[in-house]
Amino acid sequence: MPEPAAALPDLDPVIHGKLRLALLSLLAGVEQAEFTWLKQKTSSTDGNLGAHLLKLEEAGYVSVEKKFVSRKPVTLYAMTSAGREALANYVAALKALLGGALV
Amino acid sequence: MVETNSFESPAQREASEQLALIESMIREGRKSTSYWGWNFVLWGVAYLVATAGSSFLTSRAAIWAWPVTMTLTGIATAVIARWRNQGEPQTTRSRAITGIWMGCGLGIFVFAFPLVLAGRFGDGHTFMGGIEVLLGAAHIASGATLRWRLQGAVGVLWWTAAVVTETTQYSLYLLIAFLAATMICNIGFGIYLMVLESRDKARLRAGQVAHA
Repeated sequence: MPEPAAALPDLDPVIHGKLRLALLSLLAGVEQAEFTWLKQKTSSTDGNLGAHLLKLEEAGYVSVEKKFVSRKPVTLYAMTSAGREALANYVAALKALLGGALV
Repeated sequence: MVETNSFESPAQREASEQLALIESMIREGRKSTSYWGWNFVLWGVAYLVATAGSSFLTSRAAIWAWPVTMTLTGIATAVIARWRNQGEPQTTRSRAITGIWMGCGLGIFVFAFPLVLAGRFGDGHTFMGGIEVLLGAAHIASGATLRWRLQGAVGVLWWTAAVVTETTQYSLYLLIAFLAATMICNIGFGIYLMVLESRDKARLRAGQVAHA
């Protein structure tokens, strides 16, 4: 007899959005990333990407560093330890939800 | 890996999709350490030019074929790499690989330049063999770091060429070993990497994250 269908547990709303989840996952694999690189990898627009990164920054999940490289302004994003923990908790919650369905 | 067709609820399906997205993005971030196929091809061509120069130029000019070609190629590599890798994020792995190749490049420079300046190019056995050993070591170290057997095999090929170079009595065999290794390990391997790069970019364009 099949078990009752599971509902999504209380997932972190800050990273539940597809783009924010993608951004945090991208940043998990690198030390720092430029805005333009994140834009290219997610195929997002400047405004959309900026808004979502701001939400991650406000939640303390990413840190921002602005500097000049060859006299051009560059914005660098990095995942914070809080962001890493939030992503780990999020993955754990997803895996708990999936339970035996994971192969 | 997550199987997506055996879930009982929409929530589970969504969760599996989220996990797949996380996996793919982390993988994308880790591997996007830029592509270096062009660099292997560039250096392969440089070795051929330097070998041709040292073989066919007059003896005085031939001495400078290697140092001049290598220096110019080093400068070209720095300029092109800076241009191509703009905006690429750094990872621990990318820094390790860069360190390996910087060590190899500088090692070749420190090894070969004094030999040339001191006029001890000789019959080329030591000179070419030394370069082949260093290139083989860099490929094997890089292959081990990336857990990539193909690159390890490329390193073994360079070392095979080094053994031939150091043991053969014939200059022709020395030349054949070096040219064969250059064609396979630099130009062939570089072209293969460039093909992988274009495939990866096409795949990325096809499966980019939708705007959320």
